[in-house]
Order: sequence, then C-alpha cells, then structure tokens
Amino acid sequence: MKEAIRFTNVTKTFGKTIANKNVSFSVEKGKIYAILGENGSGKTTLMNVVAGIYRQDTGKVYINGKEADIKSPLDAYKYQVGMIHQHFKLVDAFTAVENLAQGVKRSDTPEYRLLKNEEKELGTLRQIKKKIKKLEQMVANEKLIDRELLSRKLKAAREDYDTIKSLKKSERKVKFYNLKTTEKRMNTLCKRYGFVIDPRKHVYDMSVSEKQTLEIVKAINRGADILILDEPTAVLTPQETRHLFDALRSMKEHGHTIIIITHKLNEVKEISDKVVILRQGEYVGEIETKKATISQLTEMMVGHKVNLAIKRDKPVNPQDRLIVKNLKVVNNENHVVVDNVSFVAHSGEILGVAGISGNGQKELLEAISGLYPISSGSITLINPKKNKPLTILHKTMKEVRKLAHDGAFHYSDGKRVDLTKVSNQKIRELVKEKKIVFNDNEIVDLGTKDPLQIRESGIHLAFVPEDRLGMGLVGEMDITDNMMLRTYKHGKGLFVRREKPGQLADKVIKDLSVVTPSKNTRIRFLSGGNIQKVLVGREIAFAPKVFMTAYPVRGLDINSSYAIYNLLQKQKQNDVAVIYVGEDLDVLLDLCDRIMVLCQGKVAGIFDANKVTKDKIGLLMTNGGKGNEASKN
Amino acid sequence: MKPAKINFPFRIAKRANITNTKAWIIRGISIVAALLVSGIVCTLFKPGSFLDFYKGLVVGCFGTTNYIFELLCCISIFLLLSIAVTPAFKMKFWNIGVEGQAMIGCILTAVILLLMPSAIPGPLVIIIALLASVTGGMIWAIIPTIFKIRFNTNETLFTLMMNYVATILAAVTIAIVSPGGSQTFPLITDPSRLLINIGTIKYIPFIIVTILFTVMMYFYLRKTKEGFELSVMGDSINTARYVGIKPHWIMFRTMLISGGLAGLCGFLIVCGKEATLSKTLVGGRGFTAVLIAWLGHFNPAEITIFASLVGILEQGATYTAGLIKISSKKYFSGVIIGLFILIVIVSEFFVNYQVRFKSKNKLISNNKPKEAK
Repeated sequence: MKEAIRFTNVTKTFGKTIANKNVSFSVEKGKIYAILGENGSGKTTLMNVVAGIYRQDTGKVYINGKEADIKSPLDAYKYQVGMIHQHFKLVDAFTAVENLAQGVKRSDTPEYRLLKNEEKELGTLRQIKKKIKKLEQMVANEKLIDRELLSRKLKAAREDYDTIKSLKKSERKVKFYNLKTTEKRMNTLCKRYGFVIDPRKHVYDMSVSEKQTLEIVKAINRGADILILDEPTAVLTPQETRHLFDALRSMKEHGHTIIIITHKLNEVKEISDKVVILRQGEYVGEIETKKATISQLTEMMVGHKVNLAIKRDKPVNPQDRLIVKNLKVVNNENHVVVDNVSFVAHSGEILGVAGISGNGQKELLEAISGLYPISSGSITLINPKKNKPLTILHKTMKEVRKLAHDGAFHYSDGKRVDLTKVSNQKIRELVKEKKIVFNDNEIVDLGTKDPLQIRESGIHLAFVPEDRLGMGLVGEMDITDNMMLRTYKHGKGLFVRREKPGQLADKVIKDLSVVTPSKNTRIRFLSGGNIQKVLVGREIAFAPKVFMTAYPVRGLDINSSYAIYNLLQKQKQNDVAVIYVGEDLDVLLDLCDRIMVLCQGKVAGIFDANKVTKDKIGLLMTNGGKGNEASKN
Repeated sequence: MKPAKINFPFRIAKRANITNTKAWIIRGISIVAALLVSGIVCTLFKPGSFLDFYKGLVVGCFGTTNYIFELLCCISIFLLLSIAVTPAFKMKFWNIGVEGQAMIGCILTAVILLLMPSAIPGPLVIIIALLASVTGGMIWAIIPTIFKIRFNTNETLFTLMMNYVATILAAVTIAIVSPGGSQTFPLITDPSRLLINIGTIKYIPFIIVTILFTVMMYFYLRKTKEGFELSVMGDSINTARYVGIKPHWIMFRTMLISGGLAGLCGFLIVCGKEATLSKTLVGGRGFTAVLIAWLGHFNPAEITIFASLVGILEQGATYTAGLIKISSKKYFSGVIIGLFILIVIVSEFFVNYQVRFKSKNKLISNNKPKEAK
C-alpha cells in the first residue's frame, strides 16, 4: 500500500475557532476517498491546507511519503496536488484552451517529467558522457581481460545516451505555451478520461458542469496526480453527476488519487472506496465504503442517531391560492429570464421548484414579491377571506368604502353593509369589533402593487443568497433589529418601537432553538444555520398566506436542515401555500407535493412528486423544451 | 524567478471579538501616544520645547474664559461638519463634499448680510441668510446625488470636485464684492445682523446650535424609522430593497439633510464667528470632519469625543506656535492634527487585528498540543 497523502496531527485555527484539531490519517494512492462531514466540520479547511490556501498551525503533511511544505497553490502543483474549488477560478473571457494554457510552465509538461525521471535513473547527459569516456579508456587499456563485459557496458551507456538525448530533443520541441499543442493535449486528456468539452468554447458560454470539467482538465494538465474536489456535485444535475463520476472512475484507473469533499451520503456510497469522517474539526474515523451503511455514516458524521425520513402528509383541502399566468420578466440586459410561466400554488401544499440555479427561480420569486418588474402576465392572490372579518391594516378608508360600495361585505349578523353615511371613526370601531365580514374570497391583483403592499397582503419571501446575508437580513444588526426590518414602519410617530420585535426575537429564538448569546447579538456573529433560522422564523412569524423560500437549507447541517423542513411542513398544515426552491432533488421529491421544473426561465413541467423520478426531473432541468414534449407522449 | 520569501517573526490575525472597553483602551493608548509624538515633533520645530507644547496646549485651550469659548467654537465647527456627513456615511454614501457645501453657505450668508439694504431689519436678514445658506448647501449636495441616481457616477469624486468649484466661487465673490480690488471681503459691521455673542458670552449661538443638532442626530440615527432605514441601506442595498425601502429616495433625503447641515455650519461660521468671507474660511476642516466622522464610527457620541480632541489640538497647537515663536502657526497645527489622526487611525488596525509573535519552537511544529505546557 502506497500513501498519497498523510496528515499527522494537523491543527488549524482561525482566531478562537478551531477548524481542525490534531487530524491524522492517510490516503492510499489510486483510490477514491470521500471526506464526509457536516458544514463547519473542517473538511474544506483541511483540504485547503494540502492545496496551499492555508497553512497548518501545527502538524505535518506528507505527500507521496515526503514531508511537504506547501506555502501556496503553486507549491501544491509542485507536489502534484490539484484542487477544484466550489467557486471556479477560470477567466470568463477566455476559451477553454486559453484557460488551460494559463500558467503552465515547461516543468509541468509530461515530456519534461519523463525526461527528469529517466535522468534520475540513467543520469544526465554529462554524467553519461563521462561514463562513456571512462569506459572507452578502460576498453583501450589492453591489459584488462574482461573486455567483453566492458564493451557491453559501453554499448548500454551509449544507448542510454541516445535515449536521454532524444527525450531531451522532444522535450525541447514541446511548445508548452502554444495553443495548438495545448488543444491537442487537451483532446488526448479528454479522450483518456472521457471528458466532453469543446476547447474553443468561451467560459462565459459554458454551463456549470462544463466549467467544472474544464477545471479538472486544467488540474490534470498541470500535472496533478492527487485531485481534490470540493463539493463537486452541489451544482450538478443527476445526469451530470453521473458523467463526473464516470470520469473520476476512469481517472482512478489511470492511477490518480481522488478526494471528494461532500456531505451527501448517497454519493459517498456510489463513488468512493473509502470514507474519512470529520466532526467539529476532529477526525472521527475511516471506513471502507462497501462495509458502511448510510445510517452508520450519519451517526459518525452527526455524533448521534438521526432519522432521515421526511414525513409528508397529504395536502388537506387544497385551494387555489396564488395564480401566476403567462408571466414574463426581462432583466436589465434585456434577456428574458422568466418566460411565459404559468402555475397555481395551492393552499396547504408545498410546491417545489426544481432547476439549475440561475434558471429564473430568483427572478420568478422576486417578481411575485414585487421586487422585479414584470413585462407581461398576471399574478393573482386569492385571499381566503370568505366569512372572515375585515381588517384595515393595509387598506385605506377610501378602499374600504369602495369595497363596501361594491358589496364585498356583510355584517356579522347577516345584514348588508352600507358605509356611505358612516363616519371613519365608526367604521374603525366596527372593524375592531369584527362586525364587518367579507362575502367572498378577496382577489388581489399583485401586478399593480409595490413590494410593501404585497408583503402586507400575506406573501412572504425568504431568499437565502450564496452569502446568506444580504437578502432580507442585516449582518451588522442584532436579532431584534432584524425582526424589526419588516415592521419598523408600523405605528405612528417618528421613532421605532423595539418592544414587539424584541418579543418576536425571543419567540423565534425559543421556537426554532436559535443558538445565540442573546437577542442583542449582531447576527453576523451567528453561524449560518442560525442566521437562516432567524430569516425563516421571521417570515413565518407573520402568518403568511403564501410562503416562498429559496435555498433555506443552503449550507446547513443535517439537524438544522430537518428543523427547517419541519417548519415548512408546519406551514403547510396551517393552510399556507408554500413555494420551495431547492437544489437537492432528493429533498425536493421527499418534501414537496408537486414539483415544477424550470429551465431557462420556462416551465419544463409540473409533476406530482409521487409520480415522477429524479432522473426525469434532472433531464428536464438540462433540456427543458425537449423533455417537455417527451413527457406528454 | 521566485519572489523572495520572508519569514516574519510575527503573525497578524483578525480579532474574533473585542469588548468595547478593550477597544477604548487601545484608542486611549493611541491618543496618549499621539500627544507624546506631537511633543516630540514640537521639539523638532524648536529644540527644547517639549514641555512648552503641553503647557501651550493647556493654557491655549483653558487659560482664560475667552480661550475656553474660542475652543468650544473651534470644536463646534468640527463637530457640526462631522455631524453633517454622518447620515450620508451611515448609508455608505461617501459625501466628502461638506467643505464645499459649507463654503456655499458661507458665501451666501456673507453676501446677504453685507448687501441687503439697511432698511430691512436685522433679524429678518439673518433668517433670509439662514434659509439661503441651508438651501445652498442642500443644492450643492444634491447635484452629485442626482448624478449618482441617474447615471451612477462616483459620489466621492463628484463631491470632491464640488469643493473646488465652491472655493473658486468664493474667490470670484470676493473679487466682485471687495472694494477697489483689494481682494478682501469687507467686514460685516452691523451688529444686528450678527449672532456672534449673546450678552458677553462669545460664540454662544454657534455652540448651542451644534449641541442641539448633535443630540438630534444621535436620536435620528438611533431611534427613528428613518435612521433605521439608513442603517439597513448602509449594510446591504439588497436587503433594503427586500424590505421595501426605496434606495434612491433615501439617498436623496439623506443628502438633503447632510448638505443642509453643512450649509448651516457655513452660515454659523460667517454670521456667528468671522463676520467676513475668505477663501480659507472653512480651511480644510470639512476634510478633517470626514476623518472625525470615520474615527467616531458614525456615532455622534464618539464623534463628539474625537471632534473635541481635534479642536483642542488645533487651538492648543496654534497657541503653542505663538508661544515658542514658530512663524507659520497654521501649518504647525496642521502637522499636529495630521499626526494625531494618523496615529488614531493606525490604532483602529490594532482594534481589528492582533499581532502575535511566533516563538521559535512554535515554528518548528511540535506534535504536542499547546495546552500541555
């Protein structure tokens, strides 16, 4: 067994946080390893130490048996370690080949390496020349008896000389910076490992999966023998994931060592030979994948038993709640980002939105919440007001009078409402006593309202962006103030009132078990999961009619994720129409009642989650239009 | 070619969390250090004057009642200008144009006070000048804002340029108004048109107005809905959009406040202190105020502390310069204030980061964890 990497007692701290603590294990050569752990367990940090992004505080890293002192990513390549990060490091304006040619040095070419290997074995040209001269002298010396042996040795030395010379010649010939040769080499690499990539394609035209492939080819091209991939499947569809795994397997056959950082258990089972588990920065153990079960892996990862099933109840009495018709949204660059989207969200149901990120999900949700201008189409909310008392939180007296005039209300004792002769004061009293009741459901056209009015009418959006803050939360403010973001305008007068938001903060902290020193802690200092709980908790707290959430479990550990899923389930039981935009198809299928697939801003299909397969959704996500026709047949 | 690798004997790490007390201890140390360095610089100007500097500082600021009010007025200028930039800074709109905005206030006040026919009663002239200067400051602030909103121009450069336009306008005004081409603006002599003293107490209107606005700004930023909106805007425009704040309107509104306060300061400088106009009336104090607002973390309470320190140094150093007979008083105080701000800014680095020295045996990684020692 040969070691590719060995860690001994590696510790890395950032300020007070310990990212890795005395981690020791080794990685066998030519195998696929999975580093498994929850977010914040130190997987990426540990790998960044090998990749030269960070340096360990204490401890040592050995690569191929030698102690490695990796000071920079460039150094890492010297040790033949390449890392593919979650955020790609490619130049958008360049083609694939041009990106590949970046930073390649003569010493990175295979020819150079071959030459150096041979030289190590046979000696450099000068050394061989010396040897030949010596041998020639010895042969010339007639006194020696063993002339035959010597001449054989001489012949061998001359042959060595020729091989090295020819290698040197071919090595000199290599134009490592030349785009043509780079392209050739790229094609051979792709053929060898089964990558599909167009060398002339610009990076800005590439899909995420293509970019990732290019990153891998780049690393191999620069001589990486040990390849580290940081959550490679997070952005891929099932089909793309399969392609990637095929390529990784073929790389393994060619002797590469591969390390995958992940927290997805089924992928670990599928691809890896061995699993190394980290928990809270510490090494928990390693296990052969074949022998491991999912529940065993989870237990090692989380530290205790976790029930992974999502309990999904049947929707109770679903009613149309939000009707979106032929919605079209054009972005600043005049691209159509949401194209002719129509769907209905029902109350008491979770509607999942599947799609590769950047296919119009964000714009769709923002358009519904009034944050993004609509080009055409309509969004209608059916407010379940039938036989419910009138409230005037977000209506002016004028509007109330108009509604009354149109006959929208009746008194709680059944009489017709006529407000023409009633004073405003009296109307307020009547409303307070809940005496005015709606005849029918209120139909609200959201296209004409501004974001604040839309929110007040009960449509809430919790969007978790990549950086977690920035859409709905203010990192520099404490939990109370973040609660207040939605309601700071309430109440008369110049000053904000912090009592109610403070109570709400206490409630959210208690209900969702947010881990925080106090409600006066700036949320920038909370962990990702807790930040997300604050966001989701706040939006749920105002009893929404429609609750839209995008990527609420982004980057969360298993426990927090399930806490959020439970919250969504509870909303569903409370007769809320939930729209859930997610990345993980397994979760979408388990959690949602119906799934809408978006592809390039179009609806590729809406399915009952019980009657659709993961593969089908994956296919629709990548080539929406075609898939749609197929599904009809 | 490899860049040379230097192994520094220390490491710089970001502080995870720092208590307020500790931060203020660091700042306090830096303030003391700044004072010490100022004394040393003073000896460079005039050997052997190390202690004279501190003597001058105390006497020049607190020597007589007169000096104390001079000092309070000096602080007021810095404070009011800092308070003017604060709301804009709070929403990360870098208005460094208070210098010009105040200058416009000065010009308008001086011209109105001087040229209004004498038939108009004094108080009315003052009110007209006040309104004009506040409006002038607002206009000066709103021009870059409109460009920012419409064309997304860089507000820092734009407001900076507006400063120079204001200074040139002042020069032009002086040239036109000055009698017989003397290039000096005539002194405003009518006491009913000036607010310099109330009774015998000097500069009291200026000081009162400044205190009033400082307190108001404190509550505006901390307690009002509008102040809350500013904080949200400053942290993330996206979040502001998400909660239904209209960023452009907030920018417009806030710059009106910012420019208006700067214009008010200009009015007070002329009407409440100098009673004349010159090109150097604001004299770079607008820029110093930007730094003070920054040092005070846009918090009026902290800003008051730093404005006081800068005011003490300005007045004290000018007095010292006279005491030890340095010919260019203005430059001397400029050097001292510059040094002070520099050192306090450097201290912010130590508030945010910590420097840890590496011990040798730590460099060579030993396998035992540190706690074992």
